[in-house]
Amino acid sequence: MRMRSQYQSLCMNTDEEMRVSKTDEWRHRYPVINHAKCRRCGWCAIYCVTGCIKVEKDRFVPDLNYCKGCGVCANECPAEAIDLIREDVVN
Amino acid sequence: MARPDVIAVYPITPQTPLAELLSKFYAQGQFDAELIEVEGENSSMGSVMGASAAGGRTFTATSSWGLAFMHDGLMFCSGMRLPVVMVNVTRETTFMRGVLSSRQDIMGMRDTGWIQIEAETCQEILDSILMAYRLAEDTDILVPVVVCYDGYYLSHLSERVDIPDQEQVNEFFKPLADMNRLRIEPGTNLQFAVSPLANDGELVAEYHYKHSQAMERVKSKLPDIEKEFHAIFGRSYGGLVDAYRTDDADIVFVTAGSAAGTVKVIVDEAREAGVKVGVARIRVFRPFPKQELLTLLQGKKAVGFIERSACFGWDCGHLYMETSVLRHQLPGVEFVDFIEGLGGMDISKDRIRRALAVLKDVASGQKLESHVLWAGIE
Repeated sequence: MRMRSQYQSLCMNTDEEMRVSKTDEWRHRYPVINHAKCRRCGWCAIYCVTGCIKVEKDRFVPDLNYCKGCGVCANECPAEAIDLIREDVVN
Repeated sequence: MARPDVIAVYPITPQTPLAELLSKFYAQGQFDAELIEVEGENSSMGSVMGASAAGGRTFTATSSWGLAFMHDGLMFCSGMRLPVVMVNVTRETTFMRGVLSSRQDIMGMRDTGWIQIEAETCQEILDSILMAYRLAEDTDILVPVVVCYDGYYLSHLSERVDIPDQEQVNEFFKPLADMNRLRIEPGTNLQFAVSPLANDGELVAEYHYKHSQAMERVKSKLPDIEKEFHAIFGRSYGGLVDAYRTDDADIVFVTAGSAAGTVKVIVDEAREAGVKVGVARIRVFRPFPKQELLTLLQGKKAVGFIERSACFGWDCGHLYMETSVLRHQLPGVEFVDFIEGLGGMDISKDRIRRALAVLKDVASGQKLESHVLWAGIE
């Protein structure tokens, strides 16, 4: 019998690829924040489903490694400062 | 005595005496573990899984609806091959949330990939838990174990138990091996669910196969563990199947749990009267002791299953249903199923005497209208 893995269980594989997993693969659109319109209220970061919108210096920046493109940030932004842009390539 | 690092438990009848006593011992400082009083059984399974994945020895306990509440956890835990040891005090899973005794709840977890051991006496519960850690933590096995015992009959009645010394337990236990546990580094996150590796069909088959083989290894490991146990503590239980007076028997009862005690009394009574009868108590239900039963039941005239559960969809009890796989290799052996003990009904001596009378008729060639007899209906 051909065994491809040395492990008894997948969770025993603690290599990098198993420990850190990005959740961006199936996204079909991504948020772009207009920093001029942005009021710095932080609601996008609060509502973000994956918690990927972080503060960098004086701006709110989504981490596109983890953004799933759900659109809650754009939906909740009181300043309507977030646009959702279609991905060129959708998986 | 097993010195777990983490215990997470939520009370549910009839496991409550266990949960309450554990909390009491903990509050009195009698053992050095982290006792987490969780808000529900789903959390208790999650907690012990996390602790086990981090390399700790763990323990939890539950029953019927609690077992159901942690059902997803059961599947994760065994698939992750974590050496968790759990106790399940058996109870009905029925309409109207009855609290009565039966084996229905543990039958619902047959396919979750756990090793299932069932105890007949309070002494056996204690001993089985100690053996369970050795089984679960064996690096050739690494499958979680549930030690089951009958609600009320074993959970709420008192029996004299020989409590071993800590030194004896220390001698019996092996140190928890470094079994390639999770390496958690600050700043990195952990992802187990959606990964290309978890969705690769051939790989999934491979892991299921490995898990299945690990469970089969229990059959060869348990006798050795029992020998060691006997050498240190002076007790043993016969391995996968506890066979009592079956060698020269014409009629054999097959059962599990505390009901076996009553059956043994009737076996002795019948033997006095010259009836050659014995009882095979299935001690390890998963992995199912196919070979042991096959050898034991070969050439018998009649086999009577004393059940405490109903197998919906097969119109019989579970012990009958599972042993029926061996039928084609047991020519001439008549099977009769006695579905007793549902909803907490006592399996009294009279019930067993009645079953024996039916089996004697069958053994002498009488035909039965039905081979599945439900107590409480006729």
